[in-house]
Amino acid sequence: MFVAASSAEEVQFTASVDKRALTTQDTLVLSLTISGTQKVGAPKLPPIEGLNLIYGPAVSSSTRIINGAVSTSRVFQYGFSPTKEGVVIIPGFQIGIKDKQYKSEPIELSVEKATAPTKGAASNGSAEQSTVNISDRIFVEFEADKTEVVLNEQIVLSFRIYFNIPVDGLNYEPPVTQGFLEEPLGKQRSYRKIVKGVEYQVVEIQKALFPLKAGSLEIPAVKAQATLLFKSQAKKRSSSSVDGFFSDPFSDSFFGKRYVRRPVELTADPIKIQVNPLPEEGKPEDFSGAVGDFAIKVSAQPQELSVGDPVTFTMTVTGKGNLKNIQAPTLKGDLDKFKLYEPESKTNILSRQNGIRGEKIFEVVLVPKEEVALTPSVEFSYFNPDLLEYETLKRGPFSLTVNPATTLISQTTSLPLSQKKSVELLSQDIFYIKTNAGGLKPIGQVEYKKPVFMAGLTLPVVFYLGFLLWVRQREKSLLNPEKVRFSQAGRIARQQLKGAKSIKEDKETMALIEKALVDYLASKTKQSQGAINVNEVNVLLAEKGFSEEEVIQIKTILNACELARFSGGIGQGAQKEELIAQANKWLDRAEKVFK
Amino acid sequence: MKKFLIGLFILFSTMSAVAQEESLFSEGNRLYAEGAFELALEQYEKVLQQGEASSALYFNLGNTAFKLDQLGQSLRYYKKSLKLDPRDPELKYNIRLLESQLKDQITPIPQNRLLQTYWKFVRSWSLDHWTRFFLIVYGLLFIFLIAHLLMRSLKKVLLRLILVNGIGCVVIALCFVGSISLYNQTNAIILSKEVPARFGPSETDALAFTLHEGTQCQLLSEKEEWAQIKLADGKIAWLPKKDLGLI
Repeated sequence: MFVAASSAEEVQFTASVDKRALTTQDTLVLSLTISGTQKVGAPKLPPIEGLNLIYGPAVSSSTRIINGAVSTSRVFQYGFSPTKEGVVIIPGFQIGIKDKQYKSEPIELSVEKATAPTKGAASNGSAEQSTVNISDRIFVEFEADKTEVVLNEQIVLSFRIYFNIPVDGLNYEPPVTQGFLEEPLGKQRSYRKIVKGVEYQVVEIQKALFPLKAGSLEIPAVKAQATLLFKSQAKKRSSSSVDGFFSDPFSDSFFGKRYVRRPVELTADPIKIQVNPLPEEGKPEDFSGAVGDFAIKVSAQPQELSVGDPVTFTMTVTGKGNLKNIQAPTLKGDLDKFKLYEPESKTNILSRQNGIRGEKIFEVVLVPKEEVALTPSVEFSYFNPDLLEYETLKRGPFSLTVNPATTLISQTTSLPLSQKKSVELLSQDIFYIKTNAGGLKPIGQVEYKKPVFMAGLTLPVVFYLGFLLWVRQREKSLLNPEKVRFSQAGRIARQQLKGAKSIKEDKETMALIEKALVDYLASKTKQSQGAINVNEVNVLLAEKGFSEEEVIQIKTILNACELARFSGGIGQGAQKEELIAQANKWLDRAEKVFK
Repeated sequence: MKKFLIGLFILFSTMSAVAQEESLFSEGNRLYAEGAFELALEQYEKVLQQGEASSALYFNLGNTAFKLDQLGQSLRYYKKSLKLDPRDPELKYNIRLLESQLKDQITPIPQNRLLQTYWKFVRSWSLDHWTRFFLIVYGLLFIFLIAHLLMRSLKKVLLRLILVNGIGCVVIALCFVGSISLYNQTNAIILSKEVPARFGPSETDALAFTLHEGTQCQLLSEKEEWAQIKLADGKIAWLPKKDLGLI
């Protein structure tokens, strides 16, 4: 029983108690639970007649994430002690959340005298007299949604275990039925439910049954086993009856606390089902045993075709009922004009919640033997158990364009594979002659005998060897800087002379000419530049084998340079060029001597 | 000036010679199209007599001979054409067609798989192709070698290139050599309808077997009017030279 529930924005307000039967010595815990929000204060508690508030409110908040869904709740707990015996009614409470009023429903309690034992526990036997009534803490419910049905009608069987006590190991034995077709209805479900003001954890298992024969059938009793865990309350209370409880061999320590394990067996009564036969009155001819509530959808593809081509009829039966054993709808019309193939079917269960709901798809292939304008029509009959009468659904006939077999197949349909043919050679003959002479050349001429080929073979080797020698030579000379200096002296001197020519300042030009020549001599005689004395040049050159005339020439040039450098006036433009020309000429001669 | 004129004359004369051969070729084509195969054959053979040939010419000669019902001669020309252009699909088709009509069935001596692939590969290109391939790879190898001498910074990369190229060069050289040996092999085709093959080079020698038109054999040696041949299955015999046509 939901004391108060409001679905607006998933906010719920419930009031529950930990027990409904209690003695004057017991403490009653009242929980006011607001789920779906945490932004609430404690509800205002009016005084309750017959109950004395001992403590409260104790506030606890919790946020749970289950499968990604977040649920929040806030619980306010109050402790009461009863002040009188008899029936105590906790009135409904009101709370305003987000401008909305939520109301809980009243709870009825029965209070007895402390010394008197409470109700005996149902499945415990009478061994223990305790304030705890086991049948209030755990019980089972076994029910069918209807007990009088017709053949093939769907029955939803539910088995529920309610408990509000820690339970270790629930075991359920499904009933073994006879005369029914069974179909599972989803997985076991688990939820919380308030019954008579007490909140329980519920485990529910459902099953769909379809009776296969008429008469009175019985679904046998169901059994469930569970182990209950009682929290030790020895220290709190030392009342005589509880002691026996804990000397129990099942006494156990659980999570550090003392717990008592008590196995219980719960039995639910068998259910009798009255199965009536289907009425003969008004039974359609083509009725094939479908019971439930159905709808039908039919389509034919393609709508344009040639004689001999197939058209596929797709018939979808949707609804609630014995989908698995329904037969294909019947086709009516000029069936002689078609070649019919056996229907193929496929069952899709769309929902297993509170009974089976789904669709069964039938596909029938028809091949028109001649030109027809209409397809056969489709009829499907079923018995509706709610209305207790037969119903027949009709669809079609549909218009169809059937072309004569000889006409060309429309472009939308591709040629069936069997009609395609690989290109076959009809006869064998040689290919036709070439029309282009294509590079006539002397008979027997091959490229590898041509001189070009020999050149191609030898030239790379020659090039390679040439480069190899050159690289070797260069490496060798790089190792001897004096030699490099000697061999490059002429080139450098000429460059310097060229540079001197472009300079406008006469003095500098003269200096450069002198430097070029002195550097040259130094490089060629393998001396440092400072070691060359202009005055002793004649001695040096004579040693190297220069003629007297050549020695005089160089001396004249060097002297002219020196003179110009110091006096400044002599270096005229024309004279300067003359001097450079002379120097170059002398270099030509010197290069030959120094070779 | 004189030299120049002579040069010009030679140039023109060769050009006109080529033009003349081209016209002979197209004349042959025209006659072939008209169905005058004998005349077409004459025209084509004139080109051969000028000392010029091409794959297409041999192909057309083969076709003409086929139309004239000279199976052996036709196959001989096709094989000549194949030597110059082993990649022509039409030619390969024609050869297969002709070979399916041969009377002698000769099963070649089974060869090593590797060798089989090698020869198939060698045969898939003409000798001139192999010559060019070889020169290209050979030239590249030396270019890399020279680059290796000059470019010190790329030494490692170049060394790898040289290695790869060197391997390629060896492979292609092997194919090139194989192609040369194929080219220099003297093969012949039997031109007569039926030829007795003998154990020796004279009519008095014992008959070994008979061969039929179109069968290919390898020429081993010659003696006067006789030729020693070897068949693909390894059989050796002597045939009169007149019954054979060299490929």
